[in-house]
Amino acid sequence: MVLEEAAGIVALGMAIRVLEEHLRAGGVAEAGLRMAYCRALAASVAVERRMPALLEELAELRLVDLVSIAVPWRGRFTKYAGGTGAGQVE
Amino acid sequence: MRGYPFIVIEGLDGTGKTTLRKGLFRLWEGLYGVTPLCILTSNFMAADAAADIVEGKYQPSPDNRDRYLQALVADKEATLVRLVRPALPNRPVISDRWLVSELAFFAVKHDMKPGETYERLAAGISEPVDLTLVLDLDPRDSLRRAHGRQGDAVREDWDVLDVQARVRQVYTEIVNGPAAYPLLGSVAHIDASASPGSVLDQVWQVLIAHDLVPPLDPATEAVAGER
Repeated sequence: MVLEEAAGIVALGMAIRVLEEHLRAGGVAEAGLRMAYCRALAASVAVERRMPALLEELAELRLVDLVSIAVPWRGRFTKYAGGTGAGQVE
Repeated sequence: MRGYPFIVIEGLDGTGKTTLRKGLFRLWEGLYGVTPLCILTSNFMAADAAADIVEGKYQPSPDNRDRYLQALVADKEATLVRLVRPALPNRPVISDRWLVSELAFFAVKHDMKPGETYERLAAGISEPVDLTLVLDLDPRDSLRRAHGRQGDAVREDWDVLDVQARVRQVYTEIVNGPAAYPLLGSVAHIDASASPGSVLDQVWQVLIAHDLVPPLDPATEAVAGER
């Protein structure tokens, strides 16, 4: 379940980046694209509160580095509790 | 002309102000490449006013009403001078509540008309907002949301239906007659009953309509921040 959730967050982060590229390429006028981006951003807000516990559960898995920077969240630039510290982005 | 907008989010507790602020933060940072500065309605930038702000907010009385008003003016003006004005050439500023919430507070707690409170505040505040977003939701629904969330203090003398209904009345009055409150800038009514994604999209469209976001056309991207 933890890996599934982690993979979902990485996929969400990827979706956000793909949508941003399409929007920058002139897609802002497309209502569907705009809404998809807004829904993805709202989803990233919703998962934010789960991130610290999820990173803790991922523990020493190297996947923790990828998950911690996949989506914007308020602890993104802080060292996560536990782990090696390799995911620091400061 | 300053570069980026000063945007304020207002609304009852539970209407999604924090969620919208975080969504806008991500929108600006991710798509437009600019990290906003986020502030609150009181930022304790005027140290001498801090005690009066705390007392006036949590123990409102006829005795401390005017001191509270003066403290709010001092704090907001210091926030404008020290935080908002220096930031706007480089980044948008998003405030979680600003003037409308104060007008509602004084209407409910001190029975002051919004216009009267506004005049007192406006006398000492030098910078207008570009856009005030008013998130509107039936107080029964907003209270349900506010009471359902984790880790947030719910005030017994404030987060109750009759008070929130009165606050919404003040908001509605302001949305219907924004010309009387020029420091609010443009005032936009936002349907907060929609999903968080839909609310963010509504607000994004308002920002585009008011020319408050930089163009994304690659050919014109170089002028971002110089609207």
